Amino acid sequence: MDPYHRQRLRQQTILAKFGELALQSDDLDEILTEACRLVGRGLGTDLAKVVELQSDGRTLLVRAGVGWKDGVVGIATIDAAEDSSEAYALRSGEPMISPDVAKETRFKYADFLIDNGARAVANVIIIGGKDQPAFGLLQIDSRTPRDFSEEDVSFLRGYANLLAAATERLRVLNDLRDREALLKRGLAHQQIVVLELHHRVKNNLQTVSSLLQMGRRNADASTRSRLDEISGRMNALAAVQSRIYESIHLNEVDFTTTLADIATSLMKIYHGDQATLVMSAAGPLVLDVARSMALSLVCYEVILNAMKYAWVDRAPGTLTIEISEVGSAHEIVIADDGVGFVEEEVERGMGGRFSQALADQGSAQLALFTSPGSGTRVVIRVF
Amino acid sequence: MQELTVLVVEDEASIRLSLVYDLQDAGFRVVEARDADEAMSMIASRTDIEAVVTDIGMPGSVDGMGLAHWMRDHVPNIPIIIATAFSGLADLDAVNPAIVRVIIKPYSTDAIVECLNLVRLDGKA
Repeated sequence: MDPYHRQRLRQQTILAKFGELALQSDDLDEILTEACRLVGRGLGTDLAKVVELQSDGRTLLVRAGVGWKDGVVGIATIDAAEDSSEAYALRSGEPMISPDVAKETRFKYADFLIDNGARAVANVIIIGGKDQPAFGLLQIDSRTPRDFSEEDVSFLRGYANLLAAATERLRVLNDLRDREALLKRGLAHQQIVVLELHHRVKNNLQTVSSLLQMGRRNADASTRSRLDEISGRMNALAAVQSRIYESIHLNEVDFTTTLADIATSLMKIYHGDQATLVMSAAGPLVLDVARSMALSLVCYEVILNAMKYAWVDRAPGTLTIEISEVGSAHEIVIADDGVGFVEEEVERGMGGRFSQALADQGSAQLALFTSPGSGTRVVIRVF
Repeated sequence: MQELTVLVVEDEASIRLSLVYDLQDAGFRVVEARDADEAMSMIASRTDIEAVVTDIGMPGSVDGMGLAHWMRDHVPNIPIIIATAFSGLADLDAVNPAIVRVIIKPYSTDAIVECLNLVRLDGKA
């Protein structure tokens, strides 16, 4: 193969090799340094650099390079003044070549170029993406005066465009990473705010609970009983609240565990360790917070009634809670093995009306089954 | 049963007072501090405090966790009960091995009394 074709083949091979790297690497400095090394090989020089246009639109920083003395790469800058070859190349978008810097009359060159022995320079623009300023220039320097053939210039342009695609790809990638980081920071901030609000709600509930506790200190028995009712209902709501943050979705609550909390707490208050809780659930019952709040109060009233009246004049027995799926609905069954009662003989009080209203609010239906001696069973069907 | 002196550290007055009254009713001798700074100064200046019940989120130079850290270095044998709205606290042993229990708000005072009774019995909860 003749030298001319051998040189073209080498340049084509270098273009292909660099193209692979430009696609695969996410490290801009690696890409730019390798670009300088390969382009030097393609043009038979050991001196090349990439200068990056800074935000002032005029200063060019030597971002990467090969063959330069210490203190150039990453440090030296070029002022793309009107009388510089760099300004010309950036302005025109055309390659700008000085075959012999010593004889150059059109442009001035930076001192570090001369200090490093550069005698010939070829500037090729590295264009920016759509609506973006140029990334900078690919500069091929030679320690001896030399011409750059039309084929060399064509190789350089192709090479610089490949480099432009790589720098633009990384710019977009970095932009995406920045946005992702911003989103993550925003999300983290939101989580902190939610956590803080959650703490405040719990703290406020504690404050209300403490106020109620203090209120009952010097109160008569009737007032104490009223305050205890309020306090109990508030604790049922607190049971929901304490489960909210454990949920992956902050607007949903695992109602099964909430119900277990309420039942356990009430059983302990009324019967210590003497009554037995048997709880079973076919699967998790996940409800939104609003429905959970309403239904927790319903369940609280049902369990409270069982605790107060089921085992009057007898040893505390067993409270059974079953949660099952019935078609597209869920059924919560709360049953005691207590004395039961004649439904018609029991006046429906405030608690009953309250429970019914709350069940309606929570899109649930209530049904009561009881008779003397056979316990009481309340079915809450949740749609 | 021996009367235990408990320091209650809580910045919310209503929560603190309610807890103080309930603990007194339950037979404890109770002293109170409004924040961790006041608590540290009380612990440093007296020798009768045998257990500490503290909130975490409080104003001052340090919070309840900072108080627990300080206690590890100065009074490592005083048991601590943390009563807080913060859940999911990790690595409490590293903060202070004397932290015997974390009780999450809203709590019933009974839970704290129960815990202190165990401390009163044998220093464990």
